[in-house]
Amino acid sequence: MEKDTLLWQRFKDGDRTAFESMLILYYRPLFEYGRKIMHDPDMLKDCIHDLFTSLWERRTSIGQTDHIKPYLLTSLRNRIFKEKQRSDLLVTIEDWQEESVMMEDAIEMKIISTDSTLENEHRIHHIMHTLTRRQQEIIHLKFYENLSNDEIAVVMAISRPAVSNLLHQSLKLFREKWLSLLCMIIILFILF
Amino acid sequence: MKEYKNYNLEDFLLDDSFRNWVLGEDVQLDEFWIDIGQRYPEKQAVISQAKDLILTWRRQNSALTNDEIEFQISRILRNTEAEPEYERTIWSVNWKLWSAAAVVILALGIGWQIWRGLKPVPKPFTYNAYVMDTPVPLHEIVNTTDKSLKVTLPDSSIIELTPKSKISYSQPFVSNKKREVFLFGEALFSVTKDVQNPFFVYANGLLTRVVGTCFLVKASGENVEVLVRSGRVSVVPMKDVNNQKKRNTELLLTPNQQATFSAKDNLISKSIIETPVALVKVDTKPDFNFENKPISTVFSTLEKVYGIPFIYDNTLMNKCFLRVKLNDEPFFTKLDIICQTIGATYRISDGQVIITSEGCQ
Repeated sequence: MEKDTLLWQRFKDGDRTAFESMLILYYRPLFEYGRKIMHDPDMLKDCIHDLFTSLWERRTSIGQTDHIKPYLLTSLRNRIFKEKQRSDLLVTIEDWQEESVMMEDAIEMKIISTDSTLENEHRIHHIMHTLTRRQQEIIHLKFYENLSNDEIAVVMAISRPAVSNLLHQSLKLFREKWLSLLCMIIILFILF
Repeated sequence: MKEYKNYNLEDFLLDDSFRNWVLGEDVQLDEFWIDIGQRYPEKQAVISQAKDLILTWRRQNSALTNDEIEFQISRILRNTEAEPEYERTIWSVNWKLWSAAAVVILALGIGWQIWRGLKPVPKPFTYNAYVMDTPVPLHEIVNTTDKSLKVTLPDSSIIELTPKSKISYSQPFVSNKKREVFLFGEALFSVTKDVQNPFFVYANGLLTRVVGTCFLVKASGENVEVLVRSGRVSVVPMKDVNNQKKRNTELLLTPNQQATFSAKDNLISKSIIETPVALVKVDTKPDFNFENKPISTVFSTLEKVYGIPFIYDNTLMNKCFLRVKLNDEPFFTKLDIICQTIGATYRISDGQVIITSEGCQ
């Protein structure tokens, strides 16, 4: 995108207003994305802080980009993993891909036992949390950040076919969980 | 035409055109997708599920407030603005290079001596020098009364000029996409917002740049002080204005911060103004009635209301709780009360409050 190229060039030239508008534009998307892969919000804020300060320091030596958002998301992702590796709360990439599945039953029971008027939105939210981190991450990138599959491939450092594969797989899982939940709610509703 | 009759939930979700329609990014898609809905009535349920999902996913914001974002952004801006100008020197024994460098330095030295002889004496950045130097006719206003004088500028910005102070500005006021005012003495500026034409105040070697905001400039004697009430203001020494490399000396001020510029040393320092006031944009009356609140909540309330950053060790102080009812006390009185209650001390550095504590039991 031409607008991105221009903004990036102005930032590289040391334009403070360009830097500030980048912060205003991308702080929230970065934070929302970071929350998908990092639990501690304070640590995340520090990561984003360090990301931008180091960008500013290295501004003259970094390359051109015409896709600022994917670039920033990628940098944040790398930084978070580096940070995770450094800290003792270490969860390796392979580990966290599969974590959080365990929670599934507990949450599902809770939703059903609440009552059938619980809003759709809450249900969606709960099902999201039963997916693996990686599945949540890709759904976030696609639907919240609105990235193309190519951009997701860059950010998550996987191939393009892997992106569409993972995306399909995640959505299919989501659909199955959702439908079975809806069925259960209807059955419970009929029973009581 | 795609095979919509075989479309399942995932297919709708991943269809770019469908997504854009749901998000309302393209009105022209309306007709098409409503038509599809009518043509495949059995797909209605799936379509509405897909819509729900897309909209919900789009909305999933965490608890991050806009205030918090603004605070984080100004933290980043603050920490990137005054980076020291350092050049890394690589020491290696390369005698050819060294001798070449020596020759260049010698040549430069001689050249500089000659150039210095020719160069006119640098003008000081005083009010008179500015006014004499400007090519266009200036309109000057001097406050000869013993009360402060309200001046309305052509752009409807308002300046309150203290006694014996004076300002000049060019006619027409907006020229070259700039609004420029020269100040001698002390004045409170309430600048009308105009992003296209930034507002500059020249005072005794210090340039203050704003878009729209309220701030006080005191240019008397050697020092210039800039005190910010609202909005953002940046200040830079005149000496460095045209020197791109030195633009790093530019300092960004947020409400309740002040910059003090020493014309003699060409140095700016940042601190907190003497009596910080609650930020204007706070709509609801801030609640300083702390009923056994964790200290982090107390500090973040003060941070928000006064826009002044607090630095403290959260892990060390996580057992500190505060039960105290505060009201309209001045900022520093509040700070005294809080620190005495929890047995901590504070100091001000670089426009921030730094809390020192040994933790609480």
